[in-house]
Amino acid sequence: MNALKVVLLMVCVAAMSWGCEPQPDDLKLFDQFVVSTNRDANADFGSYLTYFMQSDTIGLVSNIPNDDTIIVGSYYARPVVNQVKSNLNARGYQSVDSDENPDLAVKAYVVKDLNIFQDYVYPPGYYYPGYGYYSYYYYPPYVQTYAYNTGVLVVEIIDLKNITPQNEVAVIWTAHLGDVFSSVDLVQQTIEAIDQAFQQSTYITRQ
Amino acid sequence: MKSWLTCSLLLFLCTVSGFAQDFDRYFYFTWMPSMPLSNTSWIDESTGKGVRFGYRKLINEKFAAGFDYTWATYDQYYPTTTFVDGTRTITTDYFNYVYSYGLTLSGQYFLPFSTERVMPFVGLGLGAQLNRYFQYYNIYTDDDQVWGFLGRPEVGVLFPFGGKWGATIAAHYSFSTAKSDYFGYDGFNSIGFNVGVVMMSY
Repeated sequence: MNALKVVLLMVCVAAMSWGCEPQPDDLKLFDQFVVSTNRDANADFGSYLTYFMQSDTIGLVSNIPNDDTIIVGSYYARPVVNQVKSNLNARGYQSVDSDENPDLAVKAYVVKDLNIFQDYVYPPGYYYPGYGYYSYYYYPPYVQTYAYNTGVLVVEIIDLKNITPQNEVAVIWTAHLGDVFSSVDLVQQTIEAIDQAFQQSTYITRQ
Repeated sequence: MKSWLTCSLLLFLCTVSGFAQDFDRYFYFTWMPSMPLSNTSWIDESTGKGVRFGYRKLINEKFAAGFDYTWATYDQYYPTTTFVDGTRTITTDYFNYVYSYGLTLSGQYFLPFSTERVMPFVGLGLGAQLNRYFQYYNIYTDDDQVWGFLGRPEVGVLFPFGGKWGATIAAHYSFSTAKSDYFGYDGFNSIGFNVGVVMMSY
């Protein structure tokens, strides 16, 4: 065998070995969510008492044209909302209606087939003081940049107590839970992930 | 694992037929279990997922030279862990993987007490190593791919059975400068063992 054949053989060997790279077991990869949280370092979570969260609806941000903008119903939206509320209540916060001047708004939405976003841009008029402004938080914000390209559940806590004169509100806590489209047991993993998000955010408390 | 073994065996079966040459050359394929010796906080588990292909041409009765191609996969699972970075916190379980590929020019010196059927040797390979570092968590992946120098001294024994076939066993130490700044990996050293078959012709 001449040198050229040997070299060609080794190139083939290298190419095939590259294609044989073992991967982790999918079941073990997807059996729990990645839970990522971030907070506003200046927020005083002990200064808030009440919050409002829609009872059976969460948002859906999608790049698929025919997708709805909300998820409703008992299969997914309600367990998500219930679990978030359960954690907030356990930390000493009180759920109120939107017309009871809550200190916080809590919003959950799924980002589907988009890259993870690094920044949120709330459209002008997102908050409308004096009448029914909480309902505006049901709509997804304008997303500036993306990083996730499959699906992530986002939970946000928005400060309504310290609205700026320009009617701007601040998101003081975010939780990204995913991937919601590659889970083994979507609802159970979501519930566990929400609990984990609060567990790793011990600063969210009335005390 | 199964596909990996299948690929390896297919490769060998495809290649041995092309190496039915004279005695002065041989080709071998070995299973290569390995153990990392450096940066063991990232991966410290031994792996059985490694193979080695080698080609040698006898220069004379004492020396042989050729090259080796190796690949090995190191992996380790880490249960759920919480990482805090300023105001950010992330919790996940994850897998660390290193896909390691080496290509060396190698020489062997057969020790003076070699016999026709038992040929102990010492050897040295010098070349390059490509390490692909991967961290898998859920659907997400962080990775880094680096090249480095590879030095690999070894000791072993070649067992010619007579005719076309033989066997070999060997142990080697691999020193590599394939470091990953991204994962804080300052090089990749390991020890490995080789057990396999040799295709030769006398």
